[in-house]
Amino acid sequence: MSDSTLPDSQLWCLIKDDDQAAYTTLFRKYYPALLGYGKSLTDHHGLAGDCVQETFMEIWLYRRNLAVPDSVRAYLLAGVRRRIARRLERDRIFRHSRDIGEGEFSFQFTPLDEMISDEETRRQVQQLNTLLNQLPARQREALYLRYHQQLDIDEIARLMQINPQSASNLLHRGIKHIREVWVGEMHTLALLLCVYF
Amino acid sequence: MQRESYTTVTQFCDDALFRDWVITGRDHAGWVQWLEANADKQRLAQEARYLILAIGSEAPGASAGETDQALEETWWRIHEQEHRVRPLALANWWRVAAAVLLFALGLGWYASRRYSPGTDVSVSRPSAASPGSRDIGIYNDSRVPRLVNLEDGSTIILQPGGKLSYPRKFAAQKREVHLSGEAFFEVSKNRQRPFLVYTNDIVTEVVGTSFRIKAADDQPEVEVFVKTGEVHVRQIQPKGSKAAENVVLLPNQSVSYVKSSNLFEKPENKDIPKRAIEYLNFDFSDAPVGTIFSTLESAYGVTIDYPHDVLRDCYLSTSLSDEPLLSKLKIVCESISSGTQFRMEGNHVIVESTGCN
Repeated sequence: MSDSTLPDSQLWCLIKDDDQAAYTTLFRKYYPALLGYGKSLTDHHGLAGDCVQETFMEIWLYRRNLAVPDSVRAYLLAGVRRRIARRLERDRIFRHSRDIGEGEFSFQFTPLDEMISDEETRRQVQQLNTLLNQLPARQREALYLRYHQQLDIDEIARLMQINPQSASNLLHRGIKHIREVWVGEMHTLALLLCVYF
Repeated sequence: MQRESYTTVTQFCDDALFRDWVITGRDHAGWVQWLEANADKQRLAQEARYLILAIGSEAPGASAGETDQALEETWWRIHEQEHRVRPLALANWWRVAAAVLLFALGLGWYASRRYSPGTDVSVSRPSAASPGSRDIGIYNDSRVPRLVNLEDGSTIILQPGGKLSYPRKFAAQKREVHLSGEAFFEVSKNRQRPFLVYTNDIVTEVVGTSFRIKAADDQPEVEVFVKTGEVHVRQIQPKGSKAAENVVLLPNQSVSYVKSSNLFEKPENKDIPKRAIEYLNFDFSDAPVGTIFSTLESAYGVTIDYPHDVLRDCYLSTSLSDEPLLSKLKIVCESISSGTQFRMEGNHVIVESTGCN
């Protein structure tokens, strides 16, 4: 079994040399995250799983011709997104119908309750969370990719097929909107910070 | 950027150490201390903390068990994909071919290798597949011959009903394949790595040559016919028994192994019907390129697409013999001009050319 602490680029190079153990390591490392992302793009969870598997299949089948991506995570996420979009598009054509919202990012952010110890924080976080989940799908997706998948702006832009400025705008507009609604309540809180830590 | 100069919530949110502190409670960067000393940043930091907590962190979409199950399914699908007849119209299919060096188009997964256990030293049982190498199995259930290109550049034409299995990557010292049914082999020359074909009863060893083996399970005999080069055929024998009889075959010679008597017979008067590839002549003298391509088409059961207009007035003199198909194509394309290239999409060859010299 190859070392799971190896950097992605090295795992990728091993896979190019037919190393099945490295492939297993990469699969185990990213499958859960990719499935989570896939499920937030479609309600057909079977389809999401299929597309994640196909993205991985492609790596093995094309391994000799694939260049090592700058970010393996971004590469995989983009692969899953592209496949799901393609499959949903095909389904639409064949079913002559359009499922409203299918293919749109439906992920709902869940607060990190285990890190919240006091009621005031809980209240604030809950309110922010509600606002977050009301943001337009694309803003939510950008935030998810930035803070759940740790992609940088350029990677988000490539994945969402927009230019980096637009990706940056999606992120900032989302956060700005939330703060405008919410920040009014913040004035008195700054002083409390030292108490909690 | 130094945290002292942070002016926005986003800057805190994007700081990996800050996020780590908020999400895990591990304060490696001394945030508590730093915020006490930088009271003007407390409000921004607090906002960022709330935001990070509200966004949450990545929750795994699958358990370890579910992940391994999916991994197994993925391997299974990879094998299925590698052995499926692909529609030629499928975009980018040639990249698959190039990537996995797998040109076989048999249907199904032939995993059960029937092979008699125990052999002498010279005909040793192929080493058990190491965990890192899975064998590729090809079963030609179609009505036409299937072309199989191996990792070492060798070509196998597998007749209908034939089954073939071989490792994804050959061992360093030898190349071993298993056959049931009939196939024609063009082995790329490599004296350091003999090529061994195992059938139920005999093993055929070559260094670089072309020959045909007919070893159907339901036939009483196994036949080996040599087109070029030198081939050694031995009986596979149980360990401890006397040394195996070794039959040497030269071009245009053949041998039959009679299963019931365990003996080799030279079929002197036997008329072995030849397959197209064996009687076709690959010597061309000032031949139109189109003729050469159509000869290759009939020999290997492939289709070759080439720019007819561009190559209309191109003539070649070349003598091809027992090189595997890929080598033949390479020689032909290089002889036409440096601007001529080919690629394979399954049983389909695509030649691109800017014209001849």
